Amino acid sequence: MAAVAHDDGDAFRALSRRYLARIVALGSRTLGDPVEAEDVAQEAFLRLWKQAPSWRPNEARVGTWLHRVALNLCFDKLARRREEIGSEQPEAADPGPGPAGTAQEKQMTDCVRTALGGLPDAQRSAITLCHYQGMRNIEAAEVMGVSIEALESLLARGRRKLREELRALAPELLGAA
Amino acid sequence: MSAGRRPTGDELDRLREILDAYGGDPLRWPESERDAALASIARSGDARRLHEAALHLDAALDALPVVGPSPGLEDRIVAAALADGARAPRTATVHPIDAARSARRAAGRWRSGILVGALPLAAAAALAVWLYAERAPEPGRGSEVVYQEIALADLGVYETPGDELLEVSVLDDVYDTDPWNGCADGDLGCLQVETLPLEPLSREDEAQEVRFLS
Repeated sequence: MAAVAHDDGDAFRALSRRYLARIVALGSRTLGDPVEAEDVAQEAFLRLWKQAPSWRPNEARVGTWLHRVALNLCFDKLARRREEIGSEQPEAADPGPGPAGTAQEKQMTDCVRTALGGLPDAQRSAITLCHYQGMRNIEAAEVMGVSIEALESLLARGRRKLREELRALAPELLGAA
Repeated sequence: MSAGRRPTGDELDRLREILDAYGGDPLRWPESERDAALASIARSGDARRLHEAALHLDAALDALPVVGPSPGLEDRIVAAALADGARAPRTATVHPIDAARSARRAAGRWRSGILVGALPLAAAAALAVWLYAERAPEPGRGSEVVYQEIALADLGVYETPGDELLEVSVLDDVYDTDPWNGCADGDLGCLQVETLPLEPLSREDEAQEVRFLS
């Protein structure tokens, strides 16, 4: 960060390379839209660049800071979406099953995406940070600005709701015969 | 927990909470509770069933593919950051003495208009700083000063004659030695000014200055 603060473009590129994929993944899972996720990632990194000269290394780690900014940007976008379309849940953009995806895999991923998309934002974010981003509870709680107990509650309620939803949509995903 | 003892109801309840929250991968569990949770699973069929259910949900979540950045995104981000104006300056380097000199050369005809031009612009600048600080999201701690600096930078480059008055409105002799009138506190939004040493005037400039001051 010290080099980035001194206008070192190579250092900023290295920092971007290190965190970009994770921030895009966070945005994509939170927003369900890879294009908007890239907008969020770009904005988060530009804010990091602007913030670099005043960076206080003892106050935040870069990864945690980026996650927090990106998550707030995602929440802003979700709020704007709701304002635009009322209370109707937006249909997430479909990034596809991937190059090796089959119709069955696509159906499974659709079920998971639908179930995740149906969760309240805070529960979905907690699951995204802990399960997909691999954060420890203390770090995820810091990103979300909640206590560890509150995070644990969000995670538990979110996962219980997911299980109920998937049991209805695709019980085979949960190991049912 | 002693060897071979079945987990108590409380221990099973806590295991259920851990699995509900963090899933079936022990590496995701709180470190301080990991051993006890693993011991419960090893000694209880009920605990094992809970654990298996959590692992199934984990596997279902993992079915969702990871979306990576598109090619070129990194380049676009770096280019946007390095572009002019992407970053607010930490300090503004101005040359008050040189500015005063050049302004004196062209002064006189608009000196009386300084306050008329400067006051509304100063008010607009203060309003912009306030508005920006009010609407700025919280990206991290200690960012107020940064946002004020960004707000100042967002005011843009002064290009109109009226804006130019702001830059040279510090022409009175007192500002030659104290260009910002004692305000060097970044927390107050004052720019930190680097004062450069006075360069000797050329004979021609000196003659012009004498004419102006006389």
